[in-house]
Amino acid sequence: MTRFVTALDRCVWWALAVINGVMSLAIFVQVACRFLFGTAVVWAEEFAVLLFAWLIFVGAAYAQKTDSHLSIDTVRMMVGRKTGVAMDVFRLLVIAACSVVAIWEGIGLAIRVLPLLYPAMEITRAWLYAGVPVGFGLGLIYMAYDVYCRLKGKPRTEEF
Amino acid sequence: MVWVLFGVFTLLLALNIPVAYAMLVVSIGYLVWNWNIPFIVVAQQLGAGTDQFLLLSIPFFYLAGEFMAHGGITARLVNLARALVGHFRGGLGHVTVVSSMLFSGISGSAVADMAALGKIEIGMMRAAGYPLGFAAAIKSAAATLGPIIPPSIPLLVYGSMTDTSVGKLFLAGFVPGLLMTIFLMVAVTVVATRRNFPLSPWVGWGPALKTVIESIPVLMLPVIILGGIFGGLFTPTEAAIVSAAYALVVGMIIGDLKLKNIPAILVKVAVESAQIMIILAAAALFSWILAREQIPAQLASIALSHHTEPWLFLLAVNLLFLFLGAFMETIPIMVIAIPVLLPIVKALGIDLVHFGVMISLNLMIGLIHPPIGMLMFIVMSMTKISMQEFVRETWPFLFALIAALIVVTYWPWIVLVVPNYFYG
Repeated sequence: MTRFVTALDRCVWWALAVINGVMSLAIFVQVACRFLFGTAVVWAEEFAVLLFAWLIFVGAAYAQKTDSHLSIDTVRMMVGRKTGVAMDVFRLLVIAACSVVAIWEGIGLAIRVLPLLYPAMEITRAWLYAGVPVGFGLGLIYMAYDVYCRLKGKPRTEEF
Repeated sequence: MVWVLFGVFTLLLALNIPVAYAMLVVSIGYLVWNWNIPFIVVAQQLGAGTDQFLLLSIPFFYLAGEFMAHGGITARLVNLARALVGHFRGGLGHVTVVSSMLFSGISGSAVADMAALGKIEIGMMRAAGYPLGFAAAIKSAAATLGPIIPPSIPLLVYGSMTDTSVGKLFLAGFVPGLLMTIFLMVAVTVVATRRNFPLSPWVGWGPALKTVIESIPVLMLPVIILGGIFGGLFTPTEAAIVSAAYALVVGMIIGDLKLKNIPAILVKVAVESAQIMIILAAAALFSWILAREQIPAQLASIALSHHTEPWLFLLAVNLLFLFLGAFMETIPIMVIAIPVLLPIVKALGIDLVHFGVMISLNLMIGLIHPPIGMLMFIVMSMTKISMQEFVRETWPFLFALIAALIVVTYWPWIVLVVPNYFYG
């Protein structure tokens, strides 16, 4: 289990670096081409926005792993241990329930929009919506591993 | 329905549910209740919330700030500020404020300002014998300048939510940013005089000129961003990527930025951007439900039926945001409150650019006051001072920022003078 999550971590970490790098490069190339050659890279904007969606969903999964989603922990810090654990369980259940709905509906929508194409890239818009189930799915895996570590009393994997 | 939606949402937030998931669960609950709406709208709105070219500038502006900070060249800004104002009474307090103002032209985030300059400046003040509490307080207050002077992440988010020109919003941040700088410097002078902080001699013309020349590569960044946008060369997103590319080159040539640091920076920026953007994606669904229930329009008509005066409305919004800022982060407050308030703002004839700058300034104040001010926690962990000490030292600066907020709220001219000059 730990080995799987460590390998997954490494993949997600590099995926985020590559997505961000390529997304930045795409827009930079678009600007450079306009100024240097007077031409427009018509697909660059669409491609960068598509990668941005993936960056958000995969990045949000990574934020799930590092427990760094923005939340208000004022009450959580004030309550006793038992109430705190109950709040943590409730939080996990809410995230899991939302993730399952997002995964299911994301897959459904991606299949439904398969025939729709991006005008410039001429690839299916399903790529955009596929980011939803992938991101929320990764988040669920990280969450399951977190629960596993807590139950076994193991330390969570360090950030890669 | 409106009270149920907001009541459950507030309860979930209090129960430590992440903001994005609290919005999702309330929205999903609404869809279960209104069973005739297909659930596919969840994925559709999540996708639509991310499908925005303008918001690509968020990771790009973060990248520019990170490249500059990792390159270690932000220290040049501190040297420049020291040459300019280091000889005033409480000189290093002024240096902190002025370097934050200069860094604001590079980064649109208060946290980035704190991360890039906090250690250098607090260390410098400690070495010069300033009380640690004062150093922590002035650094966190000065970091709030980051998102007011352009570029600005909160103003970008506001612009995308309200369809307001980002160019106008960026220009509108200038004078309020300068006003905050002046007010903070006045507060530093008052505190320094009362506590008899040490005076440093002026560095002299030669060294001052040298620091100005050394800072030119860093100071070119805001020129590229703003000159590019207002000169019609780039869109805000393109200006953001050009500034990131420039920061990368400068960081590698004259700073300590190495090729091997870049993947880690890209991942850090990706996760920071995702933390904000996943809320905006979930907010797209939440706003869709609010619009379907016509909640913003209902609230607008309630406000108008009570003959609400604009000044009273602005006062109420400021008090509400100062209260919310005590418990929530900047972006979540914006994404929750703006769709609800926008129809009222329009109906009362309040300028959207003025309103955007006002609430951004207001929300920055929330970053430095208890119980959950993000900058307060960062500086407390950096300096190991207690919350009591931080609060005791912060109040003069908090007062200065609130004074700036009052001026910005009731003298819209201050906000609009620059955008009106350029855009007519």
